[in-house]
Amino acid sequence: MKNKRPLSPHLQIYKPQLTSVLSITHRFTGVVLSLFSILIPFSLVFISFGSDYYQLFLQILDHIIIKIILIGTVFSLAFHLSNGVRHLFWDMGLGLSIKDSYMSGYLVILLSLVLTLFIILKIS
Amino acid sequence: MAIFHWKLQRISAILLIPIAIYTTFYLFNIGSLSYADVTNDISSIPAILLIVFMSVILFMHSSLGIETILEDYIHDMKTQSLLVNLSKFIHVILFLLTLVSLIVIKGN
Repeated sequence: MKNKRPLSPHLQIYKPQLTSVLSITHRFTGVVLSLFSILIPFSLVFISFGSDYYQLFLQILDHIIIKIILIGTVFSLAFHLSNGVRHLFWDMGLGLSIKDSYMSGYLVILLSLVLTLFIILKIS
Repeated sequence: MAIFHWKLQRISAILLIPIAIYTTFYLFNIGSLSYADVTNDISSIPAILLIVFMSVILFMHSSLGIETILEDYIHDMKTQSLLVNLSKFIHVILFLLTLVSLIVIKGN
């Protein structure tokens, strides 16, 4: 790169505000979910190895540290899902005003926390 | 090409809404299912087709998202295209792993 001007998105010089923080969180949770999507083939591989390996897989999932990590993943999913729906509304040209974006932003935070809490209560 | 990428990302997003909810609840319930229950659930032909379809959508959405992020933050073109290709390769491997495991489970 010949000139050293900052290139978009300028995260270091951009004043954090709800809209920008949610936008970068959408990307961050997307990466987290990409990493954890490995759980789908991973669980199927364990199942294909037979009953003993399936029990081992369940034991791994039952570990407290793994559970905490999985709750983080569930939060990522709840956030990415609800904020993704918000993006789809924007793509249809709906809710684009500053007031609406802030309202839907707060709604996304509330919804992802409630969904995560629901899952925690379900598994504990 | 960019418009195709954009559309594909939205279509897969919409399809992933029910898929993500269903899969999450299934996985969180897996502790209460026996090995026979689970293999029974995933070894019928409709179930296999559904899981294959869901994985295609999931890994495509994931791959497109990672590609967008790499394009935005990695400014060196050589590194960028190397990482994009690596990500696509890993996503294909994950899909193939899903496919092979399903075939093995069906065969057992």
